[in-house]
Amino acid sequence: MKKQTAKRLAAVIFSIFTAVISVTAQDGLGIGRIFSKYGHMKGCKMVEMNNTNLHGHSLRVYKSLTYKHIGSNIETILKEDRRKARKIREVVDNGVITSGYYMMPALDDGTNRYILFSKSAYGSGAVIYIEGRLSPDDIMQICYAKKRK
Amino acid sequence: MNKDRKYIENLIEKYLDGDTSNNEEKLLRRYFTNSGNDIPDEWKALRALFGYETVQRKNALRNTRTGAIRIYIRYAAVASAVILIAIPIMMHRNGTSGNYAVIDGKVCTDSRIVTSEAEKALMMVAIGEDETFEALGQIQ
Repeated sequence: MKKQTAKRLAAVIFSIFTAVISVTAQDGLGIGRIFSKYGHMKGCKMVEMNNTNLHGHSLRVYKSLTYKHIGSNIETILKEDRRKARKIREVVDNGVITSGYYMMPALDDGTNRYILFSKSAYGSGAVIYIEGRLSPDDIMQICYAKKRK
Repeated sequence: MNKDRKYIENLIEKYLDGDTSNNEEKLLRRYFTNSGNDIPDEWKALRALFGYETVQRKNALRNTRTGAIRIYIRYAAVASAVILIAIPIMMHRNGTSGNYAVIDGKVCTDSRIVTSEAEKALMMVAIGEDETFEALGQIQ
């Protein structure tokens, strides 16, 4: 009886803890694994901003990773998200995808999710995850606004 | 009174034969609890027996209730502890003050550095207008 009680207690603790801790939208995507696996690595820079404003656009989540030498690993994981994307925009240079963004399926509350990426030489590059009520046009504004400057 | 006694006597015989129903046993217990000393001497031993049974039943019920309350208290304590741990974690993940940068494995919360690094990453992924319409430009 005591063993059964202990088992039930353990199950209750585990389920409450798991339910509370594991709910973040990008964790269901490959890019979530990119941040958790490489975010604290030497040679990488990770940024996380919540409920922020970027270039006049309100973002619920902004998360970015710039990296060196691990481009092939990042690419493998990003391919998983590409398969799930609702909209894909890519720049292909000499047969190689060099940059672009994926619009991922929206969350239940209508919040849109985007993955932006860019690959440079020698396995370096950047990936960005954005969550917010932005349209694809808004994402383009953010991207274009920077490059023009 | 004699009728009652006769009835009780029959019930006692049934009880000793193991043939009484739950209600009949309840009746016997009630009788012996309420009768005081007004019972035949040969039944006094039985009164002691039914009295013992009644006390044991009460103790068992009390223990069951106490045990159930203890389990609920334990569950509540565990759930409270989990919630107390989880709330700060949730606030850290979702709160407005959760901006930070990790540079070469070191965490930095300086807002200027965080914003600067965010802008640099955005600069890297920005798609130039030139790249988008480069193909059009090559058509001559």
